[in-house]
Amino acid sequence: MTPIETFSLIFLATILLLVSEIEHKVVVALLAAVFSVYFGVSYGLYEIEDVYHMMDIETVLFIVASLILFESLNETGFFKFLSLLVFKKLRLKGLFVVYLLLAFATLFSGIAENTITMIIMTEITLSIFTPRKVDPRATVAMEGVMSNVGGLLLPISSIPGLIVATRKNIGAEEFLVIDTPLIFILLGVTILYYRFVLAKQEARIEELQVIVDDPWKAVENKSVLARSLLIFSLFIVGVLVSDKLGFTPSYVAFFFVTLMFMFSGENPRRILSKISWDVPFFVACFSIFVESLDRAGVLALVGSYLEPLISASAFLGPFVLLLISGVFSSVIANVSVVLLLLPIVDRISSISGLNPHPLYWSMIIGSNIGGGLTLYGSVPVLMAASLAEKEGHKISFGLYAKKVAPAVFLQLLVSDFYILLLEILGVL
Amino acid sequence: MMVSSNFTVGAWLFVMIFCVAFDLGFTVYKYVKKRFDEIYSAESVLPKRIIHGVVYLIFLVLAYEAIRVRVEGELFAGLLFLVYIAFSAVAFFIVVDIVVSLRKLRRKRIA
Repeated sequence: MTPIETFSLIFLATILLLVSEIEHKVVVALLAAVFSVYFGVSYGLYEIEDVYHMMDIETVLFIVASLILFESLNETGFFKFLSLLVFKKLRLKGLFVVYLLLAFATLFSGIAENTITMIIMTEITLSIFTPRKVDPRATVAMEGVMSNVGGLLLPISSIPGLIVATRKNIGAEEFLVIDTPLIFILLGVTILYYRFVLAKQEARIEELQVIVDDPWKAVENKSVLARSLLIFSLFIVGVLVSDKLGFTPSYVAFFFVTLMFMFSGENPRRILSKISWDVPFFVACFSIFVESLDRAGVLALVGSYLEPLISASAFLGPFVLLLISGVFSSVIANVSVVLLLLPIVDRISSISGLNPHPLYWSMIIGSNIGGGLTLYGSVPVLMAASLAEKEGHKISFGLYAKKVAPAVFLQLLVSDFYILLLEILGVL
Repeated sequence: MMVSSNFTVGAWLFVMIFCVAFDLGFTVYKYVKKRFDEIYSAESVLPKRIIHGVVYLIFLVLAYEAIRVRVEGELFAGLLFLVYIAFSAVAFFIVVDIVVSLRKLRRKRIA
C-alpha cells in the first residue's frame, strides 16, 4: 500500500468513528494519532522527534490555561449572580424573560467555556419555567444555539476560533471588530424567530416571571469573587495586548493562571479536577493526525475536490466554505472540522491565489454556528438537552429538527451574507 | 521422490498455518461478536453496528499493513502469510455480520 492509501483508510475510519460516536472523541483522536505516527515514521514521512512539533503545543497550552481561568471564575458563582442581579433590576415578564435568557447565553459563552455556560443557563431557565408549567425545551435548546454564537466574541471564547486565531495570528481586536456586529445581528434574528415561530406554539409563555430574593446568595465568598473577577479581566486585557508585549498568548494565560491560584483564594486542586481535559487531549492528538494526513498527501487530495467549489470566485469562496464548515460541524466535532479544513484552505489559497483571510473567518463562523444544525452536533446543545432530560424535559431529535434547526440554518445564511457584505465593503 | 517429499511437507505446513490462522481469526471474531452483541442488542442501533464492522475491517487492513511495512524479506513470508490468513478469517466473519445486519435493517424498514 502507498502512504496516501494507508492514510486515506485512517482518515475514513476516524471520520466514521466520529460521525457514529461509537467511541469517545478523545479515544478516536488518540487512535488516529497512534496509527498516524506509526505509519508516518515507518514510511519515512517524518521522524519521531517531529511529533512534538506537530502537536501544536502553543494552542494546547492556551486551551488548558483558558479552561482553568474560566472554571476559576465559574466557581465563584459570578455568572449566576450576574443573571439574578439583572433579572432583579429589570423585573421582566413574559417573552422578555426569554430574550434576556438568550442574551445571557450569548454573553456568558463569550467570556466562559460554553459547557459551563449551559450548566448555568439550563439551571436558571428550568427554575423560571418549571414553576409556571411552561415547556422549557425549545428555550433551553435555543440557549445552546446562542452559546455557539457567543463563542464568536473572542479568540478564547471557542476552541475552533482559538485554533484559527493562534495559528493564523488573528488578534482579539479583529474578533471584536468583525464578530461583535454579527453576534448582535444573530441575536436579533434569533429573538425574531422565537417571537414569530416558537412563542406562538407556547401559550403560557406570557405568564413567565422571575422573582429574585437576593442575588448575593449565589456567591459563596464575595472577596474570592472580586479577586477572581479582577484577575480574569486582566487576563482578557493581557491576551488583547499579548503581541504588543512580545509574549505568546499561552504565556500570558499561564501568567494569570499563576496569579489566580496564588491570590484568588480558590483551591487549585478543585479547579484542576473540574477542567474538561478531553478538549486539550483531543486537539493535541488530532493535530498530529491532521499534520500526518497533510504530509501523506491526503489533504491535497481532499483539497483538489473542494478547490473548484471554493476558488470559483473570490466572493463566493468564503460563502461556500462557511456552509461547508457549518454542515460538516453538524455531523462531526467542529474542532476536527477546523483542524482538517485549515491546511486545505491554505493549500487552496496558495494554488488559486485567493486571499485566505475571509476563508479563515468563514471557517470560524461556520464551524461555531453549524454545530447547532443537529441535536448532536455541538457540545452546548447536547449539554442543554441532557441537563433538561435529567429534569424530565426530553428534547427529541424530531423536536429539535422541527423547532430549533431552522433557526440555525437562518443564522448560517445571515452569517454568509454578512461575510459577503464585509468583502464587498473591503473589511475582509 | 525428493520433490514429492518437499511438496508433502509444504502442503502440511500450509494446512497447519491455515488451520492455526483460521482458528486464531475465529477466536478473535468471537470476542468481537460478543462485544457487538453487548453494545448493539437493540435493533435501533443496527446502523452503528454496521459502521463499527466497517471500521474493524479497516483496522484489519491497517494492522496487516503495519506488520508488512516493518517485516520484509523471505524470512518473514511465512509469518505474513499466517497473519494474512488470520486477518482474512476475522474479516470474513465481520463481513458476514455486516451482511446479516444489513438484511435485518432492510427487513425492519420494509416492515
